[in-house]
Amino acid sequence: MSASKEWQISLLILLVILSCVSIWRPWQGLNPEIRGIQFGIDIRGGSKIYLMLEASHMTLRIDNEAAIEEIDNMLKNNQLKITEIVSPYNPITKEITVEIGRAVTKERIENIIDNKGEVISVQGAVSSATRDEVIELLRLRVDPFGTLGTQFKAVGDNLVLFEVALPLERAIELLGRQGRLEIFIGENPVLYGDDITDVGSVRLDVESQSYCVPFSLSKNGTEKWASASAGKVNYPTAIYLDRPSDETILLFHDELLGEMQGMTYDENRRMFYLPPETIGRDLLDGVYLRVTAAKIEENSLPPETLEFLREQYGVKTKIILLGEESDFAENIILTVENLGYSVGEVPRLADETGLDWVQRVCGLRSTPTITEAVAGKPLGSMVITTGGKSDYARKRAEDLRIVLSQRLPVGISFESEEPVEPRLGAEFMDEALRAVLVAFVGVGVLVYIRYRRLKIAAAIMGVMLSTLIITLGVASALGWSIGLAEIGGLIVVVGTGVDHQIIITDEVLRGALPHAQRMSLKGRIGRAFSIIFAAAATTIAAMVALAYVGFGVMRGFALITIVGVLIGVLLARPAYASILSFIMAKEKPEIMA
Amino acid sequence: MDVTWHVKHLSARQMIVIPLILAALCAGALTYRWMTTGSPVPLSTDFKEGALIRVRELENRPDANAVEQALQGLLATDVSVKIIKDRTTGRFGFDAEIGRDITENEENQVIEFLFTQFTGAELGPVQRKGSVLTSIFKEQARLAVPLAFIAMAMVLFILFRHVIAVGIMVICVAFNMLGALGGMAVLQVPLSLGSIAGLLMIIGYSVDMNVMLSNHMLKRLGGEARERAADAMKTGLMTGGTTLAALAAIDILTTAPLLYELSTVLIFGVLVTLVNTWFLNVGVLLRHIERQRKREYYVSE
Repeated sequence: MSASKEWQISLLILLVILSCVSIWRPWQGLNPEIRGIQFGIDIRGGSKIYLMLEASHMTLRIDNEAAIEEIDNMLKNNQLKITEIVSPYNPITKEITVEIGRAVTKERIENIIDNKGEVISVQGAVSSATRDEVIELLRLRVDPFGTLGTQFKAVGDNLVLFEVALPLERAIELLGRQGRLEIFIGENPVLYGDDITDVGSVRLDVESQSYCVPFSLSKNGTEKWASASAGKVNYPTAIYLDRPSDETILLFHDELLGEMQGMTYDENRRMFYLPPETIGRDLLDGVYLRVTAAKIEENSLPPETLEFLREQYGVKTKIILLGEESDFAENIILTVENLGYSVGEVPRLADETGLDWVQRVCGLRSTPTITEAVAGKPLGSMVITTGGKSDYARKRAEDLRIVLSQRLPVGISFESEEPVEPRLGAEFMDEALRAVLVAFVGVGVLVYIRYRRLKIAAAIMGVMLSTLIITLGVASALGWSIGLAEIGGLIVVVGTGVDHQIIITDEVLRGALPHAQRMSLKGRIGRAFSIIFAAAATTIAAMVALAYVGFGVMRGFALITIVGVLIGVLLARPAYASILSFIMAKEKPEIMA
Repeated sequence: MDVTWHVKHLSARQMIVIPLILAALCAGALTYRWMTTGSPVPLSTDFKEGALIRVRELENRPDANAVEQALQGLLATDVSVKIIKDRTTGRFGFDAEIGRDITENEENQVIEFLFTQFTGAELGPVQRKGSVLTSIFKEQARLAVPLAFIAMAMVLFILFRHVIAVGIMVICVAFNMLGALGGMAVLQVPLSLGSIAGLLMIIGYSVDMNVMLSNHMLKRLGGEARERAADAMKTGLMTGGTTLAALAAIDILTTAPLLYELSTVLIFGVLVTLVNTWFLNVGVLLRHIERQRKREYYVSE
């Protein structure tokens, strides 16, 4: 036996040890638990989150079909847009039903489209096309490789049920702040989430020595950017995520104004304003926070504010209190509720400045400056830098990356979030372990009966176990969760592994048969490997196709099969061939010729 | 007894007929089920549109199996229950997914049942539930499976450069999946995440066996073609046997429905693979080799 072959066996053993470490993770304490492997929701429990999609279907009566484009433009000026034609224009009834990616009221639509058409009805609903699009976008974001075992299902008219075998906190983190992205220049929203086609990872820009986030725009987005940013060098943009809907009014204590730093309140526009010096150097303009805000006194609604609220009702329907409900006098809340408003609250977080608080409530996430390089230019891809290379700048860039990756066509909110108890639990693990043990022994006995050599049976089983452990080690190191599809993949890996070893053994032993062509051991092993490589290449080709196009389950299955088959073909089978030559050289030197 | 008898003695045509009949039977079973029930194989709750009931505010942890069985008895359709625990109050709840839409009458029955069974429970409205497959996914799957077959055929063609051998291998893989689907229709194994995994595994599994056969028959010299095939078959039966032994252990010893579905589908798949490889693929290759030899004889005359 040449020394050059032994390294394959050593490498296999080394990788088995490394995989055991990756599966067991002894650095997390020395209990005999396996911590590296994440099991599916039935085995380990997980989380169930109901997401509410906010969109409306409105039916309009318009004179001609072209008017709908005009209406779409008017809606866009009001930060709304048509996401889908639900039922096309009917020239006889002159009616058309379209979907708007927000929850809106009939009054608001009537105000916006003025006399361009008659609003027949507006109701909260999501079309199945939009819902499916949202589900696929969420799936891509949460579980791009299908290795976490996530599931999305549509429930009712506008709910999406999301299940994943992860603890609740992690599940929420993954779904992240799935929200609605808007980028304003001045008073106009220019880009929306679906204009952004791709967001790159955060990197350190060498030239400016600053962290930055690259992103690409769609063709339409590129054009919108070019026309809106023309002549706006050194003006700020405002990036909002989940800006409260335009039906919202913020109510705040005027005491807040006293301690406001870096921010003013514009009584005429009823908006907060960030002056240029708050945002950055050499800016030519500040930023209005595009949420209507109204001021109250400690114990009462000033008559002027009350009048405003009364006037606006219909166009506005929601009140958000800056602070906890208990901070506001009861009669104030009663009064606005009597006017018909629904009331919500956004308490201030500990150690949050007034400025941060108001920005958070308004959904303002970033205010990058338009540089000369990008103003008015139809650039398909751009970069936002976050100033400097400190940890803070990097974190801001990371946050911004997440913000820019939101490209949902509709608003979304968490309706409920609950942990799921494991269904199968410890009992199932015992059962599965027993089944695996019996399967293992069964295969071993069959192999022994066929070859009548204990050493060969032991070698086949040992190498098979190594393949399994290394594949699990890889899954564990990559944080893939082992659900049922993955268990399926593992069975394939182990099953084809044993099959290939049987093929190798048969080829090698065939040398002893009388009618066989005389062939060297090397030649015989080579012949076995030509079968194995062909089979593996074909399986991998099929699995790559599945992983490339498929989603979730299919992709998880395909990936784990590819990894396992590669490990098997490149490591385990050559190692087994070495071991087998070793055994045969001792037992039957005559067939080694 | 010689298990490879048929390879040595039957004519190629006789060998080919058997798997074709089998494939026709499977196709027939699927079509029959499709005609009578509307879907060729049963679907699990994940893949069906249906109804969803949410129950909350329970003092004690409910027994998922018991609730499932009771609701199944009541509605005569499959139900899947997931237990939920509220972390702030420590109370329990569950979501029951029902495999079909229910009528108002049935809804009332269910609500009454749940109220008497779980006093003090809070019931959400019964809602329509979609399948895990969105329309976008269905489109992707329609693309993925043919693409997988094309990728497979391309690699095989590069390796073997033999139109007939590659063609029959691809047909065998397709027949194997057809056989497994037919088995699902007959045994009422629902299409679930588990059985889908099983179906996908058949691709990898059957490729292995067919490649081994083609390698023996086309890439080797010496001995009769039928003898080489019989030789390959002995190895093939051994690999099939070990796989079946392992799957049988999983099938018999575990009670989780998804593992049962996965292993049942695969057992079917392996059995069908054995038939298709060692009758259909062998038959076609033998016919090809024997014809070619005849042609050689003519030339030498």
